[in-house]
Amino acid sequence: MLIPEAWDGNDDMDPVKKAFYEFHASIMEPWDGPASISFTDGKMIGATLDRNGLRPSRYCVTKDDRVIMASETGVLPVDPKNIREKGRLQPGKMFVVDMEQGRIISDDELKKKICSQKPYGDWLNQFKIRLEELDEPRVTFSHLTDESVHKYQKAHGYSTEDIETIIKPMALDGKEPIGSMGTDVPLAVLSDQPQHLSSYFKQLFAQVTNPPIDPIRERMVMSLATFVGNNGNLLEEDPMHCHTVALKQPILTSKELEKIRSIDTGIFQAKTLQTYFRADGKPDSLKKGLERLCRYAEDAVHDGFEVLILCDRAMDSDHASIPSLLATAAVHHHLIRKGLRGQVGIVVEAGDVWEVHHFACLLAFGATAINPYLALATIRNMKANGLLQTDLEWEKLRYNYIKAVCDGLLKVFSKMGISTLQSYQGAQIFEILGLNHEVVERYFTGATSRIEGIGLEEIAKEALVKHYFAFSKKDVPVDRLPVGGVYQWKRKGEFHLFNPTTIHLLQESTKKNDYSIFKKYSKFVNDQSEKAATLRSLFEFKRNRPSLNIDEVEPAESIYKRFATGAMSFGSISWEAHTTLAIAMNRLGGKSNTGEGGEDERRYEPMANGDSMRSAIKQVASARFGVTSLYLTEADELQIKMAQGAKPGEGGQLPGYKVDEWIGKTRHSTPGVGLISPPPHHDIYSIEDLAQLIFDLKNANRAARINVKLVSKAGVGTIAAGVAKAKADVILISGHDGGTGASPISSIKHAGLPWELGLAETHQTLVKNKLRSRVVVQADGQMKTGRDIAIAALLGAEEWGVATAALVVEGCIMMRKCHMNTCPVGVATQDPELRKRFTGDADHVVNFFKFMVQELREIMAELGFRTVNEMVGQVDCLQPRENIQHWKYSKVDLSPILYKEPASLYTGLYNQEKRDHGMDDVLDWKLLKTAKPALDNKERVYAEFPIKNTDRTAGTILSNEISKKYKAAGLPEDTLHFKFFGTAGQSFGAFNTKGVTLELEGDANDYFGKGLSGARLIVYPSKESTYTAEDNIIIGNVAFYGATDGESFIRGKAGERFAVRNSGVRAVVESVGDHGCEYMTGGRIVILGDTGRNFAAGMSGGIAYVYDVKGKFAGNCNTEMVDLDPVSQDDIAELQDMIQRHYAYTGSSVAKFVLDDFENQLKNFVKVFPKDYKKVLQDKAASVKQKA
Amino acid sequence: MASNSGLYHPSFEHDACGIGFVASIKGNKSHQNISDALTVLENMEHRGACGCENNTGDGAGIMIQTPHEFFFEECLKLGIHLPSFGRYGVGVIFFPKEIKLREECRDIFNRTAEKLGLEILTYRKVPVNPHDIGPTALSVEPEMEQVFVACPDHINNPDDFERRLFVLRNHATHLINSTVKKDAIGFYLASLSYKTVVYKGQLTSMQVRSYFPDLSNKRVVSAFGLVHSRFATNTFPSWKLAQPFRFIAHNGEINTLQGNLNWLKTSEHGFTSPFFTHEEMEMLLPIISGGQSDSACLDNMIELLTMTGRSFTTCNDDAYPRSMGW
Repeated sequence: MLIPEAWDGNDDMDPVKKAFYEFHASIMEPWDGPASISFTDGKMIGATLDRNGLRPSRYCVTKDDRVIMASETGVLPVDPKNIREKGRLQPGKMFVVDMEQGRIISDDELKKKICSQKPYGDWLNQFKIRLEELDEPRVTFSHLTDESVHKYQKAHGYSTEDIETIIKPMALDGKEPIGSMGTDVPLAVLSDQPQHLSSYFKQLFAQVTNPPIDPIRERMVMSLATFVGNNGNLLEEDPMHCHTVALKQPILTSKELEKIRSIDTGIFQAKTLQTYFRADGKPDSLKKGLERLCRYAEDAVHDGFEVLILCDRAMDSDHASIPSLLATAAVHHHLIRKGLRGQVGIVVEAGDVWEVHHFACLLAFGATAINPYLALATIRNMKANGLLQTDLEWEKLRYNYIKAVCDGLLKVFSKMGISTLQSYQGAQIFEILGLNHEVVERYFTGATSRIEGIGLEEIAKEALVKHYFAFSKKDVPVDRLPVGGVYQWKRKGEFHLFNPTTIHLLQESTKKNDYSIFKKYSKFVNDQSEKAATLRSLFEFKRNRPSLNIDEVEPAESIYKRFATGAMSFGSISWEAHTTLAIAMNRLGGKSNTGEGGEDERRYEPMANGDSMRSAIKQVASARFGVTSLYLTEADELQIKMAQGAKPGEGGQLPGYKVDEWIGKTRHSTPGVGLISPPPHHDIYSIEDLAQLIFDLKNANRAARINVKLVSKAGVGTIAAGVAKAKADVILISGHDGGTGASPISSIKHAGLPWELGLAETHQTLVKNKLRSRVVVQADGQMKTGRDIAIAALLGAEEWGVATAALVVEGCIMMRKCHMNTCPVGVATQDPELRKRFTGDADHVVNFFKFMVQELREIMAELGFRTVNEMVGQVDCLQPRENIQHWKYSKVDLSPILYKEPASLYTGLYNQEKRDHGMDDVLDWKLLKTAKPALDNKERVYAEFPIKNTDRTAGTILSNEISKKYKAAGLPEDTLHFKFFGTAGQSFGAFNTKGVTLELEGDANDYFGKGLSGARLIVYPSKESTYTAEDNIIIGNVAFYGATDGESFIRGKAGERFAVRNSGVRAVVESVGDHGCEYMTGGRIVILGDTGRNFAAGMSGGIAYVYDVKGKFAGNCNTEMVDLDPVSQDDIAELQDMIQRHYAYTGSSVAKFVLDDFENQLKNFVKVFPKDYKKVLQDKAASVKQKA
Repeated sequence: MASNSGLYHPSFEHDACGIGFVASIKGNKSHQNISDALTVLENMEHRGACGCENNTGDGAGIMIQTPHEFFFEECLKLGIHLPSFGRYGVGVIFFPKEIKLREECRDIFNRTAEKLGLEILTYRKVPVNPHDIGPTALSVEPEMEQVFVACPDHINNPDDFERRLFVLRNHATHLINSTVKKDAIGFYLASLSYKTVVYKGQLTSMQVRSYFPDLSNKRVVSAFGLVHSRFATNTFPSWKLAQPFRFIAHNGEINTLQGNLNWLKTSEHGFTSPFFTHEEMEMLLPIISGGQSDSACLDNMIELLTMTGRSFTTCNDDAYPRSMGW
C-alpha cells in the first residue's frame, strides 16, 4: 500500500491484483522513492523492494533452513555445499519467511492472498466514477471570443514570447521546447517585470542520495493516474473509498471539466468557488479575498461536496483573479489545518497556467486536476485565425498540448525520483526564492524559503499591474502583449547580463589584450544598482583589515591553477572551441574539462609548439561515453557529474546525425547511431554507491583528485557533507544558470538555485560538520568578472569554474542555438562550414583569465588578503548593499547567506588535510606484485586468490598500471590470468583493460565489469555447490555499465540493468533482470534464458540474442527503438562462437544443450536489433555496393 | 541534532545504508543467528560511514526476538520473577544522562503506564562497553535501560497487549517530549514489544557486538537477527536515528515525505479503528512526530497500519497481512 508495484499501465498484471492496487490508490498515495526494506513483526521476517529496483537485495537459502538476506551477497560465509538457492529481490516484489509456519512465502502467493481478501474489483466496478463514462455536462461554456482571449491574456501576464516560444511548439509538436546557454535574466524577486507567481518557485531534483528516473525509457514505472474525491478513513476498508472520479491524467479539457462540474451521483457533487479579490489596490484586499475563499471552501466541505472547483473566470474591471497557485495552496493548507483536505478533490480552472512549471507548482501545492482554459483557448483562436501554419485540427492541437504538458510533468517528477502523480500531489517539491515567511507559513506551509522576499501586498501589486493592463481605465490602452525577452534578449524585453554591449566589450578587451576595456565590461556586469540580476549584485565588500599594496598579494601565477573551464563536451561544442580552451588552460596551469564524451587520444601527446590539448579534468557522467582505463589514467582530476545546472536531474540525447565518425570514435560508439545519456548514474542510487564510485575511480587513477559536481539547491550542503564523507577530494557547487547543453526551457529557468545560496550553504554545513578542511570547494555558474570570483571565495570556494564567459571570449554571441547545430560563429556546431567561422584564440582566453585574476587581486588588496586561502569563507567581508529602495528586492534578507558558522581554531576553513582513501589493503596490491613479470616483460602470469565481498574493485589498480605503460593497446591477450575463489565485492573487474583475464569461482555483487576496457571476466558457481546454476543469481545489478571493450561469460542469472550503456562488451549470460541492455550502444549480448521487463529500452546500438524457449520475450521487450528479428545467416557464426566459448570457459550445461542441438535451437533465438543501428549498417552496405 | 542557523536546515538530511538479516525458516532460536547477523553487519562496514572521527559511526544496530530465558534470569537477579513469554513486554529506553532529567522522564513513563492500567515490573540497566566509541558519539550517549511491563490479566490476546504497549509508547513519548526540558539526548523508546528487542546506537558496524555484551551472551537466542548500518550526510550524533526501528530497517529515501506527512496530518484526526478506543486513538496522535528521518516516519506508518489490523499476523488463522501491498 505504501510502496506499491507499478500497476497503472501494466497490462500483464493479474486483474485481481490490479484491482487491489487501484482500490488502495484511491485511499492513499504511495510513499515514493527508492527503497529496500527488511521488516519483521517478530514472527515473520521479510524484505521488499521499490517498483524500480533501485536498491540491491540478495538472499541465500541454505539446506539447513536458514535465510541470509542482505544488501550484498557473501556477507556471511556459507559452505557452498549447504546452499539450496541464491536469489535477489526483484523490483516491487516481496520475500517473506513465516517462521511460525516454517516456510518461505513467495511474492505471488502472498499477494494473491492479500489481493483476494475483499472483492476489490467488484467495488471498483460498482463505485468508481470513470470520467469517460460520465454524462454530458448540463451546461457548456461558449468559447471565448478573440477579444476576451486577448483581454484575459493581458490580465494573466501572457507575453508574445510565451505564446510563440512555449504554447505554439507544444501544440504543434506535442513537445516541450528546447533552449540552450543557460539563463542570465534577473531572479523573479529582482526583476522589474511583473512575474508569474510560480517564478518564485524553484524545482527540486535528485542528486546523490537518490536517483532521478528516466520517464521516457522507464515509462512503465511512471503514472499520471489520479482520483478526485474523498479519501476516507485510512484505517478501515470501505467500498465507498473508491467512489471518486478516476482520471488517467490531471489535465482536463473544458468539456471534461464541465462533466465534473455537473456530476451528481446522489452522494457525489462538485462546488465551484470563484477566486477573485478587489482590484482596489488596498493593502489587504488580496488577504480578504483569500480568507473569503478559504471560508467558502471549508463550508463547502462541511456541506458535503466532494470536489471543489477553483475558478478564476470571474474577473472584471473591479475584481482581479487571485494567482491560481496562491489560491490553490491557500485552500489546500487551510483544509489541511482543519483536517478536511482528505475529503475533497481540488480542481483548478485557471487562465494563468500555460507552461509545464505552472502545472507542476499547482499539483505540488494541492491541485488534484487542472483545466488550463485560457491556454487551450489561445491555441484554438490561433488555429481559427490561421496563425498556426498547420493542417492539424484543433482537437489534435489540443491533444498535442496536453500531451506535452503530461510528458513535461513526468519529467519534473522524475528529476526528483518520483514516479507517480499521486505521490507528487501536495509534496511541495520546490524551494521558494523571494517570498516572505508570512506568505510561506500561511499559504505554502512547510515549503523551504530562506531569504525572505515579497509579501502578499507585492504579490497583489504584481497581479494588479497585469490586471490594470487588461482592464485599463485609460482611454488608449496599449493593445499589444508584452514582448517577454526572457528566453532570448529583446530590445524592450527582460534584462540580460550578457547583452550586445557586454558581449562586445568582453570580446574587444580580450582580443586587444586591453584591461581598460575589460574594466568597462566588468563595470557593466558588476554594477547592477539600476538593474539587479543576481543575488551577488546585492552585496558590497566590507573592509575588516588594512588594505595592502597589490604587490603584497600572492602573484597571479599562483592563482591561475585555481581556475577550471566548464564541462562542455566535444560534440556539444566544436573541436576548435574545445581544444582552444584546453590549450589556454594548459598554458595558464589551470584545468580544462573534457565534458561528457571521451577524449581523442591524440590530445594526450604534446603539440609541436609545446602546447597541449589534453584536458586535465576528465568527466565521468551518466552515459560514461569513452570512459576507459586509459581515459581515466590520463587525468589529473576526475569529475563525477551528478547534475548539471541547466537541467539537473535530467538526461540528454545526441541525435544520430550529430554522431559523425570522429565523435563516434571518441565516444566509443557507432557513428550515425543516436546516443542517450540516462538521467541517473546507474551506479549511484545513493550515497554509499557514490562512495563506491569514488573508490573505483581512485583505484583507476590514484594520482587524480576526485571531484563531485553538484547543482545548487536547498539541502546541497548536507549532500556535500555526505559527499565529503564518501571521500571526494573536491566538491563543485554549480549554479542553476549555466549550461551550453540543450535543455527543456522550463528546466533552464525553473530548476536549481544560484550558486551563492548553494555555496554558502555548503561551506556553512561543512564547517559545522568539521569536514571543510578535508575537501576543496569549487563554484561555478555564470562567473563573469573578478568581483564574482572574490565573492565566491568569501562565500567559501577556493577554486572556480568559468564556462559561458570563456565561450563568449571565443566568439559566442549568445544566439542560443547550440541545440540546432547552426551556431553562426563556429563554437557550438559540428558543421564543417560553420566551424570555419571560428575566430577564437587561446591567447584571448588567456587574456580573459589574466584580467579576471587582476581584478580579483585588486579586490584582495583592497580587503587586505595576501592569499586566496586567507580569504576563503571570510564572509564577514561582505554586507548587503546600502540604500536598496527597490519595492521588491529591498525585502530580501541576505543574512542567512552571510552567516558565518563559528569555527574553532582547529577547524580549517579551506582544504588542508590529506585524504585517506582506505586503499592500503586492497587486493590489487597482491595482484600487482604477482603481475610484475607481465608488466615488465609481457610474460604470462597465472595465480589464484581467495576473495570476499569486502574485496572491492578488483583488478582496477592493476589495469591503471597497464594503461600507464601500454596505453590503449594494453597487454597481449591472456598475459595475466587470475583466478579467484569466493564472493567478489562490488565493481569486480571495473575498468579492467586488455590482456587481463579474471576468473571467479563463486559469485559477485553489483557493478560487475563496470567500464570494462578490454579484459575478460569469467564467473561460475563453486564447483562444490549442488544447485542448478542457471536458476540462481550469480552477479548483481548493473553489470558492464559504460563498458567499452572486452568479453565475459556468466554461468547463471544476472540482476537488473545488465549491460546498461554497454558500448563494446561481448557477453554471454543465462538470464537477466529488468531493463536489460538499457541504453546499449554497442557490443554483443547473448542471453541463454529469461529476461525481465523493459528489455532494450533506449538501446540504439549493438545486438542482443535472446534464447526465448518460452516465447515470452516479446512481451518483456521495449520495442520503441529495436526490432525483433530471427537470427540471420550472417549472425550464426558469431552466435555459435560465443556460446561455444561460454561452454569452454564455464562448462555451462545450458550452453551444451543449445550447442548439441544447435540447428534446431536456432529458431528459439530472437535477435534484438536496434532500428538506428540497422539503418546505419544498411546504409553502409548500400554505399559499399555502390562503390563496387 | 545541531541547531538551525544560516542556510542549513536539519530537514535536508539524508541517509542510506546496508541492511540484512539472518533467519531460521523453521523459527529455531539460536545464538548463532544473532552472531551471524552481526557478522553480516561487520561485512557491510563499507556501506556505512564514519563521522569526523574514525571511531564514531553513523549508527548501526540489530533487532532480535525477545530472549525470554535470558531476561527471566536477568530479572531474577533484580528480584523480579518475570511471567511467561507473551505475558510481558520489554522496552528499550534511551534516557538522558543527567539523573534529574532521567528520573523526571521515568516518573512520567511510570505514571502513563499506570493510567493505562499497565504494571511496570522493573527496569534493567543495559550493560554497555563504551571503550573505543568516539568522543562525538559519547558526548550524547544515552543511559540505556530496558523496562519490563506486565500484561494485565484481562488481556488474553498478545496482539491486544502489543497494541496497548503501542499506546503506552506513543503517549508517554509525546507527554515527556512536551513537558520535560529537552537536552541533547532526549527520551526515546527504541522498541517496546513482547516479541522483539532492538539494540542500536551511534556506532560503527564493527562496534555493535562489543558495545552490547548482551549480544555475545550465549543465552541470548533468537530465530533471527535483523541488522542495519547507516550512512548519514552529517556528522551530528543522534543515537535514535540508528536503525532498525520497531518494524523495519530501511535502505532508501522517501522523496515525497513532506506531502505524505501533510496527507497524514490532515486525515489522522478522523481516524477510527475497532482496535483502539477513541481515547487511545487520541493518545497515539500525532502518529509521526517532527524531527525524524524519513525511514523513521515510514516505520511509524507501517506500525500504524499493522496495529490497526492490516497486520502481519492477526490473532486468527489468517497468517497473511491484509494489505502487505507496501
